[in-house]
Amino acid sequence: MILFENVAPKKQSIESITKIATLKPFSPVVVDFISELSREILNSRKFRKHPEMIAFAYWMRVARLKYLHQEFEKKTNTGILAARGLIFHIAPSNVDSIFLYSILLSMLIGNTNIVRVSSRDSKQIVEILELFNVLFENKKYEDVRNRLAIVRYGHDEEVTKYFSNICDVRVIWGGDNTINTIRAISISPNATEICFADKTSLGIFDAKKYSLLDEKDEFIKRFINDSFWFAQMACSSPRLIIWRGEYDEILPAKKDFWLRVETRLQADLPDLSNMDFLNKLVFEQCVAIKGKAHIRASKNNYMNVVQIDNLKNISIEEHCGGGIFLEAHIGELNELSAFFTKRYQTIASLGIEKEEWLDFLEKKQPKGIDRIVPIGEALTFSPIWDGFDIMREFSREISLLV
Amino acid sequence: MNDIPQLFEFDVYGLSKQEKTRFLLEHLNVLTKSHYENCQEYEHIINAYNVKFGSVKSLDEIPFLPVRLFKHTAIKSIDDDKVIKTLTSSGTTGQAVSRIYLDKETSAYQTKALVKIMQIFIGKQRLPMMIIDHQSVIKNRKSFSARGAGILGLANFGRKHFYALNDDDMSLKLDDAKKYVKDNPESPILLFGFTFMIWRYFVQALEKSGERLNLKNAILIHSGGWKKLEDEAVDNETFKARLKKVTGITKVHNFYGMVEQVGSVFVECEQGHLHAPIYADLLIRDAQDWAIKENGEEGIIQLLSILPHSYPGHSLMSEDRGTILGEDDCICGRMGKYFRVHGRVAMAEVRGCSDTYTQDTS
Repeated sequence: MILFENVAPKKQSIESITKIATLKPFSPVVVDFISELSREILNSRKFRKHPEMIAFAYWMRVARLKYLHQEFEKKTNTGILAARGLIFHIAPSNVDSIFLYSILLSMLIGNTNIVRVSSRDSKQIVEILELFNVLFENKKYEDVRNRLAIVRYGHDEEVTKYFSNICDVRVIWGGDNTINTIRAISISPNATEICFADKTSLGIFDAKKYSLLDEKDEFIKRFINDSFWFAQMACSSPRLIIWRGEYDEILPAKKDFWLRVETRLQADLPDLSNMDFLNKLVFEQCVAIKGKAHIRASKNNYMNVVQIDNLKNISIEEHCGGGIFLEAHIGELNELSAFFTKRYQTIASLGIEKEEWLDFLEKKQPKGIDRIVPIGEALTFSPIWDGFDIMREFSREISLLV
Repeated sequence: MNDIPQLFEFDVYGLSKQEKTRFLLEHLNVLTKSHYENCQEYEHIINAYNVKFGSVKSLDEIPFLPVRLFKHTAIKSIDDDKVIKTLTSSGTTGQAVSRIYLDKETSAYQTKALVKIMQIFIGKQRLPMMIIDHQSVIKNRKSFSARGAGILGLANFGRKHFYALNDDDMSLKLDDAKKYVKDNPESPILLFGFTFMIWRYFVQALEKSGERLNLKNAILIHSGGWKKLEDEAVDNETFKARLKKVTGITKVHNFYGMVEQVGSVFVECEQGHLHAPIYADLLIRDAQDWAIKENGEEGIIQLLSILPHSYPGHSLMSEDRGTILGEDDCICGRMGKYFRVHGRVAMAEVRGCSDTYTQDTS
């Protein structure tokens, strides 16, 4: 007998869930449910202090859902797109709400969803799940309610095995260890799997363009949002800053940049703990040990910068977050041709034109790099994530050629 | 500049602030330079901070390393062939352990310092020693736990070692203990154990059995942290009171120290305060900006010691919270800083797409 706790809805029959038919993609009842959820979050006082939740709700508002529908329709010319069936999501435990997006996208496509959430979820996530239950009290959402089971259980292989064998897609949201553990549990031959492994992100700034910026403070504000939300622990948080330009362009640019960041942080200090400061002390010295590093003399420990001279020396995997940045210089973008690994996800870019990026990507075919976005957008979710077109992954195409 | 051996002739708690500061500063500056010249990793760190260590004028300007650094990297200032001993810290499963490399000189200094400090509290004679732990804790020399290492370290201060707990279930060998007390009437008995072990398997065991052990002349030395006792709402006063009730012991001395700076042993005086010996000192800093805290203000403990010559451990940032209560004016009469340790710095919140599947408990 498999045991788990039903989180949302509070009562659910897994058996009926496995039997029920999927819905047509973007069925009105699902669109209505999600837009009401979005409105509830935006109107609630509980989420005001959590910008990532507000962003999430904003992302799911009606206008946006219409846009997603239009984009989805474009994904086939001759076929019909249908839901895949039963999607089994394994959510990470953290303050990062990113997995909620993929659940909602899956619901929009018409799938039935089983979601394992952690016992260590943040307060915000717990409250969002409560909202689901509140909405489910409305009979008009019965069709949505009957196609969702958000559950909680411990380290129980039997339960995971069971869900894995009845699903059509298994979605694993990080980290690498979790993925390896779960991959050892089989899924049925018809099922596919999407894994969001550990990722790292960075900023690449053109020094001259930075210096010429009119609204520097606006740029700084966006950078701080990108870097300090989730205490720099989101996969898209910039952890390394690469300046491009001549030495005499870079020097004044970065001096000005970090001073502004530091000043702005003082006005609104991020929520960091003693252990965060100690972790950063350990991290900066671990980097320094390798030699030729320079630790910026900061006013305090809220923002730490370690300049390194050689990109080869980076081991960005063991980043501790909390607002510590590695910093390097390049003369040209081409110097990065062998630098990226599959682990690099987001480049928050300033002053490098689209054409230049296109040229770099086409000529150098770098590994990794899932997205290149302007500063301020690093943490903005997109339905194309880690190189997966999530809506397509959750749907299947039926070729209708008669 | 090697007058450290002479130092051991001085009174362990005999230097006042001004003399001690001048004396420590001189020695610590020499050590910074020496480690800079002999340890490449240390040199790289000092260069990264751009510290002009030649012009350090006060203790708080001496650069510091976080204790955890010794878990990440093997750092030493001597050649491999000079290493005579490697100390390791205990780690919880899966964690790396600290590695501290000692040469003959540093090892000798650390031992000497420990002897000098302990003699203040237990006298110069080797006392019959009752260890509140089980025999097997020191059996496997290859895989030392912190408890095993601590016990072996202090074992030299006693003789006729008696392990008071049973191997299989840590139960108290009450009859054997009574016999041990009876067999050693002339000199006070030295008791040693880890704080939690003493509480759970000695004090509480005696309370449960309804028996008493007559140890009114004994001296208890203990260490290991108060976290588990705090969870049971037992503070130092309660601990001592309950211990006295079942044994009559009044001489209780907790001590604070760490493997990363062996020889920095801070022992609890009769007033319940931890004291800095002349070989070591501490600073309390605010983690937000490393600013020095005033006496009476809580912060993170930084430890200074003139003993680590074989590895750059003379100035370390711990992961413990503490408060300096005063300097040179403790009622017990001993000079130097005296302080309290409040416990470890709390773990940081879990953030990011972290691995929870394997960490969630059922």
